[in-house]
Amino acid sequence: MNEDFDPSIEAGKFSYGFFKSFLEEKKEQLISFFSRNRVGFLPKGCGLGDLKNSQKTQSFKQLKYLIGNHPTLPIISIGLWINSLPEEKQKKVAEEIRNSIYKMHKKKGVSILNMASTGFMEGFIKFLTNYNLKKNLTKEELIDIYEQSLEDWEKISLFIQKNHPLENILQAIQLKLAQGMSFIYVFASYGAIQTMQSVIVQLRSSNLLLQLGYSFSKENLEPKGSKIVLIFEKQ
Amino acid sequence: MPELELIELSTNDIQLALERLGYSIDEQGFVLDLNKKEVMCKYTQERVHIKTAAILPGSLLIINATPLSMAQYFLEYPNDE
Repeated sequence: MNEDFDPSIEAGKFSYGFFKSFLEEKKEQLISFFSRNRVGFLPKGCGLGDLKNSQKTQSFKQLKYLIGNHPTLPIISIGLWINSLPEEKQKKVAEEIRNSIYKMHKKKGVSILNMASTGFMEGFIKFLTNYNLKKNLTKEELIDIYEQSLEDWEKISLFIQKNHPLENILQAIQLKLAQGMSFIYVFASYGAIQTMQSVIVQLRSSNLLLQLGYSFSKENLEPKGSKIVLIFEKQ
Repeated sequence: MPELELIELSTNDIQLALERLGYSIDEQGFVLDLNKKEVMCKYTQERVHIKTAAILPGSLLIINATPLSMAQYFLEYPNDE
């Protein structure tokens, strides 16, 4: 391998080549240059070219299949794109675009960003898919669950921290369930997963869920099981 | 259909490309069309500024490149159709 080879410089030359071709194009061919060559120019450093890949993911296609051309699809693709960024960048990017998303899509849009920055975007789509299979819902019913979950996201989601005492977590879950919402989502990642396992044991041995009329299931949000969610469903 | 190639360019190069297409930039940095009217981004509904201007295929679109506008663009012009 050529030791002088630097991929970023080579990529730069390639890009500049396209730009140079554009500048050398005949005047009457300039407007069609972009369509003919399937090329576009973006501001340097914006990093938005990768966003198109989020719409090619199985999760995105699956959600589009389930809910059709829903107005929130652009934010879903932003959410999946954020999820694909390095973990330390996810919250920062979500924070930067929160205001513009709220301006156009209000609470539902911000809920999608919150899901994305906590790594639940794909998990939520997986849950909707499985739930749809289990209940054989109409598209309208599924859209209703989707929209309601986004609308109520703050009320129906709970994030367990590693250092939270078990009693406090159980109390927090109980308070959420007592609201009587259709679904409650309880998340844990990395160090908090052990605590979550203890929560599961406690819930199974108590009659709390029976009293409040809920069942629950556990979903792994990552193949290695480093992020999980308990989904409580009102019976 | 070949994959859409998106190339990041410096502000100067974007300006050069826009000027080649007959556009101009006003004193505040907003993009003006051939009739010297401010170009409005079809997705953000705001004036397009040279610092955020993107030039994209699809009857030649000049838009503000933001995550939301780009996500809307990719949905409107999917690569796989």
